[in-house]
Amino acid sequence: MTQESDQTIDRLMAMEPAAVMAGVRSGEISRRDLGKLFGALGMTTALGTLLGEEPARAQSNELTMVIWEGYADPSFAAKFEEENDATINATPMSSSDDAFGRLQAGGGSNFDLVSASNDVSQRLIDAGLVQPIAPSRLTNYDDLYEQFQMPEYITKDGELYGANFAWGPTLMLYNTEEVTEEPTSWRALLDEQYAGKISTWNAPIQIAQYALLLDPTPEDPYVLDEEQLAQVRDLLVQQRPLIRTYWNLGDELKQLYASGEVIISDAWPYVGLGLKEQGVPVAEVIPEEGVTGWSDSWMITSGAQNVDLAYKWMDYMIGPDGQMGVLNNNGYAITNRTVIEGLEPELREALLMDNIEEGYDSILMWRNVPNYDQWLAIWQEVTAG
Amino acid sequence: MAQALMTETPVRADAGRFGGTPSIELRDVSKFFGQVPAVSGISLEVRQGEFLTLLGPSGCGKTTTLRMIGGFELPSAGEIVIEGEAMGDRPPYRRPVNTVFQNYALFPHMTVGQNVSYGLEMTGVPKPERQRRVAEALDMVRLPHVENRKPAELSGGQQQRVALARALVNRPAVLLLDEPLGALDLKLRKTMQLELKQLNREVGATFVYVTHDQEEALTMSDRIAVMNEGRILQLGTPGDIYERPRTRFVADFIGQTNFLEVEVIGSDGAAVEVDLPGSGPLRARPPEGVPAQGTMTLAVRPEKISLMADLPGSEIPGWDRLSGRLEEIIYVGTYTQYVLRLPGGQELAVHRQNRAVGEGEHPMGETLTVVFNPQSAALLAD
Amino acid sequence: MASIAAPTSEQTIAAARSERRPGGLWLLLPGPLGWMVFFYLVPLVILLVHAFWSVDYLTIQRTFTLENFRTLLTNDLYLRVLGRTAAMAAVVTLADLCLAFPLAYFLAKRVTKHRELLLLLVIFPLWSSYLIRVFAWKTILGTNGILNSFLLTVGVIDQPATAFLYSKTAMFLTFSQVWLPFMILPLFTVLDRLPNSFIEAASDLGANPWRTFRSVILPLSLPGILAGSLSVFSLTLGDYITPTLLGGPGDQMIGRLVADNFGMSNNWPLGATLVVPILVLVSLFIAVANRFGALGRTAA
Repeated sequence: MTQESDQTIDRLMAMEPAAVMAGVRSGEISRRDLGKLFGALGMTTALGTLLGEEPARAQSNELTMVIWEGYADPSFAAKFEEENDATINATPMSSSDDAFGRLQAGGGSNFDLVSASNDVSQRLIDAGLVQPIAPSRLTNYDDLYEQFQMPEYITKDGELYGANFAWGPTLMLYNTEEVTEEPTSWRALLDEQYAGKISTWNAPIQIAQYALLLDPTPEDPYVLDEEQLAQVRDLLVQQRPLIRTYWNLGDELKQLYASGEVIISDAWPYVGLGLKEQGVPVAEVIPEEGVTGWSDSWMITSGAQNVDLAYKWMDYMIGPDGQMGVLNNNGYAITNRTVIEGLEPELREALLMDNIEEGYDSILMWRNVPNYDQWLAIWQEVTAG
Repeated sequence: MAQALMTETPVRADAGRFGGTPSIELRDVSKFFGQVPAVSGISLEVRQGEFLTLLGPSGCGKTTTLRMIGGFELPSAGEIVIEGEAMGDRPPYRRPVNTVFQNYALFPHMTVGQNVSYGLEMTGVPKPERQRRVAEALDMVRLPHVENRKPAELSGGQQQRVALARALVNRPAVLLLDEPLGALDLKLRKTMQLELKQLNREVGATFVYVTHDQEEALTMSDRIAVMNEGRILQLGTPGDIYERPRTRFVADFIGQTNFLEVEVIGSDGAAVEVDLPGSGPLRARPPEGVPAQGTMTLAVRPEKISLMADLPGSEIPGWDRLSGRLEEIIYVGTYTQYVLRLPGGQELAVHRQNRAVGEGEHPMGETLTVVFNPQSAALLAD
Repeated sequence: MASIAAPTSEQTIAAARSERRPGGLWLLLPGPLGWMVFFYLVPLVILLVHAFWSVDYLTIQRTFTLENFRTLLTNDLYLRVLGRTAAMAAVVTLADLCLAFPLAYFLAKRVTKHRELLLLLVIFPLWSSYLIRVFAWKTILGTNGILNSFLLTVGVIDQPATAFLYSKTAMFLTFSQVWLPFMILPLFTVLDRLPNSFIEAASDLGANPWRTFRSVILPLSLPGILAGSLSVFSLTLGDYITPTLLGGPGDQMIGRLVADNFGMSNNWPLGATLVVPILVLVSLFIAVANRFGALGRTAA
């Protein structure tokens, strides 16, 4: 199926725009194909306007979502849009708190879907911003590994609130030309020799990552007492003068590496993948202290306008197209057993999926931190100066 | 008040008042704005303590000349010398000159007192002396005790006096006045004209005055420089300018003049004989600086012409005589203007003083005979 | 010929005119006034009311409390950030004043030809998006940006300087340049209206250019100075885009803290509280500016 679509797109892209339009008008080229073309060119919303229609507002064909970068990439989303005659309107989040804030402000009705990570999903449920889902409406549900079917972070009182579709670590990324010796510890992000070229993600949850540097190592980096928090705070304050800037979005971090402002940082696989495609010499490493990480689920908001379409999207994303899409585009680990078992072994190993349970457990997963407001306060204090 | 001021400045006796080195000298001064010549090669000497007026229509260059003396514009060519010192490119604050601006330019954010003492502050005069001199200056312009008011609270006439005081308090050698009376009503203007004249004598500074109002010029000036198109056409006392204009423009600009085209017939030293087509021979004053020949313009002012019927006796020997039909009668208050149509087709205006009500009124269409002294008639080349 | 019984047409017209005039004007008011109330005053009041509430886990407790203000005054993070923000706003205002004054003076007093064109050029940058201009500065100041390339080529430095971007310098440069038109225009207006004769009179009375400036030009251009300063100061005070995009770690300004509280930290009451000092500062400035005629009513 993918090959066919590619051929269609190639053919259309080779034609003159006027010829394409003529083809559409005469019926030779179907609107679906046109949709594919536009999808490939990343102009899905332009489709409606070009055909002389008003972009359909919220009613049957638009899906608004707040997502981590890359989760609605045209490379896999275009097919969904075309198959369902839909338009996807996606807003990127710079952190889970950012997404929470947006949903809170809209009372759960300004977006249909959110790709919620395991640190914020419980909060969303508690705040009534998302609605329970019926797994029976997801045709691909049974293909998910058991551990991803009803994980505790998207479950409350026995009810399921989301479809867990991707997970991964927050790794250490570095520019192989500038950083000559391969770094092995998170300490590298506090190393004087990289002063002024270090970056770290601007999210309070990162406190857990730096907590891994404490001595003695805390049992659970997400459960820290006052003293431990104070120590992490000191580390962060120590780090601050060495920081070039705190990064918020993955694309922003890519820019920083590409322009040479930053040579070492923490990052998601999405960033490294993108930079390598651009030809920037980078490499990722899992430091000896371990990595923190996340598991993302699609959740439908309580005020969603387009619940049917939202279900279709969720199903799509835990189905083969969506899963492969996320894997290829972002370099993340996925949750659909059938798809995973069909992958090349090297790929599985690289993404920690040769043994799902072990791979997953090797990551110190985000979760709902009990004293999160203290984490917030510390993080704000450190970054605001 | 004014007395005190006088003893502090050199006393100028009226006779021989204008002796000594000139206060201001303009030596072949020109000013171009781009390609446009505003002033073309003016040379002028202003005497110490004199009241000189630059008179002319708008655009004649009088204001530009004044501004060059003040230092607000620099000449494109020529030299300006004040009190014996060449000014070169000296800015206004280094010239012994003060100016009264057309719009007064009183600083709105300062009181009257602060305005007047501004110049004294700039030259570092100590406070008690400043206060004294400010009070003096305000007295001199007959505006005492207004130090603490703001300019906006004063009337136009009062503001004008403050502007004067502000300039004079510095005892400048030269005072420049740029049409300062324009915004005042007629009565106030006439009063101020006299006061300015008086101040000039009391203070002893050289006044250079710019105006387009010829009556004002005639009233106040010791000498007038009539200007047009960037040049000085004639420089002389009011009497000179009025009675003996040298060009048609000067004759026309000041007061009213009849211009009649005549042919020169002959001359006998004291007067020139000319022929006025249609009316016959007339005699006129010999022209100055040019020979009497060919076609010339005879210029005679309406008030110099009298109705023969008004004169006692029948004829005054030697006076010119003309007759014409009365075409227009215009009543102007102090006089009535009669316009006669001469046999040759020319118009002649005659001003007849209204001495008594209803005295000898003449009906329209009547043929009147008028006479005038040949010495009142000038011959002009243009 | 006026009849006694019926009023003349003239009288009728005059009476009608005087009656109609105030009526007509009042009809125009409800629209803009209503807009101001609904979209400006009401939200502002709602915001300020939040400052007296608190948040508990996920919900806002609508009971009166002064806790937020206590936090504001005792936690030095907020005081520090406020101080930094006010200082940056003050420095930018001063810099813009020094930059704008000569330019405005030149435009008002020395330019005769093409004046409108030059004024247009001053406003021109405002037609482009603010965000784009901030990004432009990033391109200029970056490690491999235009400024560094230039300095390297010329030989002033032999390694790219990182001090330009992600620093207070970057913020200062960006703020000063971006707000400059807001300072130039009011200064231009006030200097344009300043009669040249005032300046000439001062000079005539013995004041050299510096003293003329201090005693005449400066006091009379005060309304313009205050108006421009008010704009630049408040714009800088509340901004959070520039510090976020160009500021260094630890250079954050109060606007970002407010934004964080309404987003990330989900603590609307605290966010609202942080807005109060900004409002107070700006209101004070407005009061001073008004007193000196910057808002157009009292003449200097």
